[in-house]
Amino acid sequence: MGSDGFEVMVNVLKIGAVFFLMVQMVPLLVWVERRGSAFIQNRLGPNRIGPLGLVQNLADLVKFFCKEDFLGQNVKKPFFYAAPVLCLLPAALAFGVIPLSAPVQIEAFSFLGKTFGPYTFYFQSFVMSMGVVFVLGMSALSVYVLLLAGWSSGSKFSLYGSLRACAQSISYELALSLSVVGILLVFNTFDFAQMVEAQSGPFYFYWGEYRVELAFLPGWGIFYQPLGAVLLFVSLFAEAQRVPFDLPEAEAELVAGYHTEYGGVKVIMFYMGEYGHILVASALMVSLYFGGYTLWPFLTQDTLALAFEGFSPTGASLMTSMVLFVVFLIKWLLFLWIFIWVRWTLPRFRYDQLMDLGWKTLLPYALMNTVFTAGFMLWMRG
Amino acid sequence: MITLNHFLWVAALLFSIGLFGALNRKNGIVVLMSIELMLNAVSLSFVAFGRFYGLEGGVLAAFFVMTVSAAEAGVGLALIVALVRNMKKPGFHF
Amino acid sequence: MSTETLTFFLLSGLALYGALASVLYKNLVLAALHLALSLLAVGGLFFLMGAWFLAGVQVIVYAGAVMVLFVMVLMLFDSGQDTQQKIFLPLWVIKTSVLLFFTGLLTGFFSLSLHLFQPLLLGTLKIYSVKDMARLLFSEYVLLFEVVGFLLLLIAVGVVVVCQSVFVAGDKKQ
Repeated sequence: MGSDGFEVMVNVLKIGAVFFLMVQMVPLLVWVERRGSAFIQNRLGPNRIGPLGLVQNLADLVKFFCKEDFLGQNVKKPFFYAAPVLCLLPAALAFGVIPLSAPVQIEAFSFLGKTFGPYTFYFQSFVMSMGVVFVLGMSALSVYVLLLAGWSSGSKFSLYGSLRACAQSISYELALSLSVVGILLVFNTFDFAQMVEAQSGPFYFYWGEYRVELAFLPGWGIFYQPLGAVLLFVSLFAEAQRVPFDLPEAEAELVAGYHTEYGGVKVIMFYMGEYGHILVASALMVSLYFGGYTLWPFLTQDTLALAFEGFSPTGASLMTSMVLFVVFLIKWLLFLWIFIWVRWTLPRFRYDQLMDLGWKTLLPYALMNTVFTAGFMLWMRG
Repeated sequence: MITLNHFLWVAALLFSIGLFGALNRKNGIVVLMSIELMLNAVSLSFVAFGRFYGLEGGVLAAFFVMTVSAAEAGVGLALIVALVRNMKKPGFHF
Repeated sequence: MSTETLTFFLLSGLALYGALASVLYKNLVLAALHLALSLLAVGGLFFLMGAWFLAGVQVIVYAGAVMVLFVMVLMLFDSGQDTQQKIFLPLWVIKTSVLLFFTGLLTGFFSLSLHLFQPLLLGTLKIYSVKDMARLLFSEYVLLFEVVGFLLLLIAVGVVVVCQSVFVAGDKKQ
């Protein structure tokens, strides 16, 4: 956490700030989804309440808070109330390990007579050298929420919805883990920060003894692992239960799947959890395959350090981190828009099509990707 | 100060609880879960020995134990599901 | 009390509580969920000892897939009904004495060999790297690795065969 009081305090505030960022993105996403989906469907969407319909979220929230808290007959109360609360927890923990910007180096300064030493503050909730494994673990644990929600509702629709959701989740977890192995082999590390820094250079590889460098391409993961990126993207859709994989919530089939029996604030919390998963999925795609917070050759830590040379070291570091955070935000928002875009473009998969895709298409391709990448890395590195 | 003995105590207690469950419960699924607990306790002691004596084989042994126990849990559950399906009454009554 | 000591006691307490609850509860879903908690706590203990990859794999595989399978099967057969007896406590004189006997045996072993284990500070941590473990897997333990891979293939095929034969038998009965 830190060696002295100042560092501990800043780190604690940082954890709160990152969580706050995640939670505050949810209303923005809801607004984008409602308006964006409306424009895609050639209608207007909510535009009466507030300018551009921005206050619609607040109105809906007030409505949800005022709803009656009803319980079905066979509801198992402790699990019924626990499931929506636990929904956001795995996603929030997973979001904490993804670096949002470059680390901030603060030189020693004196304040009120005491000197505070040089610090390095990382732009993430907690620093883990095994970030990728942690994110995979948290997405594995998020399955329990689905199970609890559906089973504790005490109705057959909810139970079947949650069992389907759970089967879908654990099938695509496999494809998710395998498609990440390729990029781990390329960048040789489990740490997100190292992976992002490795993508802030030109695209190069070794052909025998020659180093082939394509200087017009940044060294992004997607150029090293195009198939892996596609597989990961599809698996992330399935993990977050977004269309075209949202069979567990299909209205025509299962009423509302595993959150049929939930009403009022509890539904809001479920949707927050789902959007939390989407936020983590987008951040994962950006950090692994699209350069994270860097944009070689224009905006990396080195070029920005040159640009901010006039400032003090602390000021330059802060400004660099701010600019790189904006880069990350733009890429992240782009991927969030893609998630919303795909939702309103593609029809939903049938259950057997879904399972076939997970086991018979994604898994063999991911295995092939792993084997080829491993072979190529072995040949390239000696 | 945490020594090797602390970890071994925890592993031994977990193993005993698992053994108690495996021997005394009638329900097949609880027996399977107790076996998982015992295997977990063993892998904990493997890793503890490996860490305190600087051996890499401890963690690898724990990997193999985990793999085998996951496979065995899968087969056990499939057998139990098949058994319950073939009985006339629903649910677990053994 | 350093943070490591505190973390160790917290994690072991959680693991033991989860294990006890999982063998004592009659409500099967509660038992399975408590076992998942215990496995998570053991994963935390692995992390405390420096085997972070094993801790991650424990969370992903054990607590995130195997226990989910258990809970799924239990929920499918709807065996979470509340029974009269909350906790399984039969002939407790005999059964608890079995437990005590086993613990006593282990205590005896440990107190005899207490002088063998020198205390090592948790600060002298050797972080296991995945590369070294992978190198070992493919050099010294390659036979074991291949055998376990074969076992997994066998299990996958076997499970499918078992489930299919149940279907065939069920149809034939009609």
